[in-house]
Amino acid sequence: MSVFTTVLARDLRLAIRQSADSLTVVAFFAIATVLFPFGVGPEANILARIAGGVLWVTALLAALLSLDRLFAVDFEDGTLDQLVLSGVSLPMVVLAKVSAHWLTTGVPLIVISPVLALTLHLPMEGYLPLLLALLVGTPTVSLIGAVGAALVLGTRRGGVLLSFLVLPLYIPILIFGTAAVEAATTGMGFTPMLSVLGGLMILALTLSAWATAAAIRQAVE
Amino acid sequence: MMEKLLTFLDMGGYALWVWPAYSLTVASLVGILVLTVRGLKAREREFEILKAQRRGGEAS
Amino acid sequence: MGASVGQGWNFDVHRFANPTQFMRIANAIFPWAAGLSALLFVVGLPIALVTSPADYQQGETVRIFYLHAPAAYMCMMVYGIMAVGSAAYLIWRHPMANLVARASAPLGAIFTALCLICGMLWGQPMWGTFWVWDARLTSTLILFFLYLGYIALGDAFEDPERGDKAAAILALVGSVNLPIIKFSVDWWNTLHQPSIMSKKGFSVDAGMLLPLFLMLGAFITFYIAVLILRLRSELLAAKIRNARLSQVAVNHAPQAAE
Repeated sequence: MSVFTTVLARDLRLAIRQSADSLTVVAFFAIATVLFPFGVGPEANILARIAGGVLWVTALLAALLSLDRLFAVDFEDGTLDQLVLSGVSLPMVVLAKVSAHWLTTGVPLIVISPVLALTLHLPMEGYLPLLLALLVGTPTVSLIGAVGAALVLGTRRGGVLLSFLVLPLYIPILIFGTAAVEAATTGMGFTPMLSVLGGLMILALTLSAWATAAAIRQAVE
Repeated sequence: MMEKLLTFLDMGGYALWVWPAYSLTVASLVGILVLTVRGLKAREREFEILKAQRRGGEAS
Repeated sequence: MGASVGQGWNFDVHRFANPTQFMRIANAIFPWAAGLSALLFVVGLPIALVTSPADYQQGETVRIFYLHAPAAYMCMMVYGIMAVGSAAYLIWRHPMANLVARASAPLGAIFTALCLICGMLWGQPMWGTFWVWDARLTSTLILFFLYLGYIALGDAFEDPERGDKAAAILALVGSVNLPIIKFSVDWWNTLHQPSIMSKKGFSVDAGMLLPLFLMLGAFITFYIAVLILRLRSELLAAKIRNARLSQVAVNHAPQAAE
């Protein structure tokens, strides 16, 4: 457990020192969302209809922006090699780094999302499911993204490649995340969608750490 | 005879969809086949050259 | 070529002992696969295009289906082969399993693209639109992106072995995700199902089976034949790389000997 807390604390410290990185992600989220009214027009009912989907899509893209830095810095300065050679549990290291990533990008995205939802005229009953779905869904985004981030270590144009690998895998999260918001705004229960998102998170939690660890191992060999 | 050919080519009015489907399929399968064979031939040539160089190197 | 290739070369035995045997079998299969594929195309295409009857509901567009359905089958089968090959490579370090997976990917991508294109060309006259967010079409589109991602990742590294391993991991991650994606898309589709094509599925009647199976057979044997050609090509590329490396070693050797 100490590996987990050590790595988590270190990554959080680094993230706070370079808080501009997290802020950039949030800023991207905001600006990408604000583009939509210009694209589809300012009518409130159209915006309200697409608000959930827009917020989810832009949140995914924003999270993606920060993902290619997840392991790249440690890969370049040799920290990853040391971690692999030191014999500590690599999946544990991965989980710690993913947790730090979620705390520094996922949580700020969740915090700002209601404000952006206001600009998109999201109906009142949509806020709770939006927040809950983001809360349950964004950890999965970080977990799946970690696999991609580890796979593209050492490639040129890693960022573009990463989005190419990871975005198709995000589709289930997008479907159920948006559906939760939509169900609530059309007066239906949204708990089934949240439980599917929870199930996806548990699945990602068990599988992604191993896949990421395997990807890191082959990258530093 | 000509008429038969024309009705065949017309595909019951669906010529615009049936023929592109078939031509694209044939074109892409032939395309990957040609690319594969050309790649293989290029590598065979390269390998022969390398082998000849190696023999020359051993003889000298 | 065949036996003459590799004579007098001391290649890494561990890496190539296995492939030699594998390629012996593959090369024995090749003429059969290639010949059978040519035969099935020559017999199947006229039957699919000319002699088979038009469907009473779909008319002549049913002929597109003889390409669309076999291509749909192929894109699933090839991804399955890729996933199994990748697993065999990661678990048992079987080099041929990896080559099969890597060489299959472009073929799988082409079959997926053909399935999509034929599906669109079938959809326009039948549904009145090129694209509907039908569950199957959507899943196939995602599968196409997975193929492209696999190919792009495999080619993204300077060191070919890293590309092999990264792509293999991605193929496995993708194969775990595919059922989840399929399930999600099916569910999403029933949620949003527009009425335009709700029950326009069709029963496959007996007259359709012959062209369907002929084309499927033609596609499968085509895949096997081209796969073997691609394997030969990949193995040669590896030999060329090794020869280049040993040449560098030879060039440096005299200085060491003096």
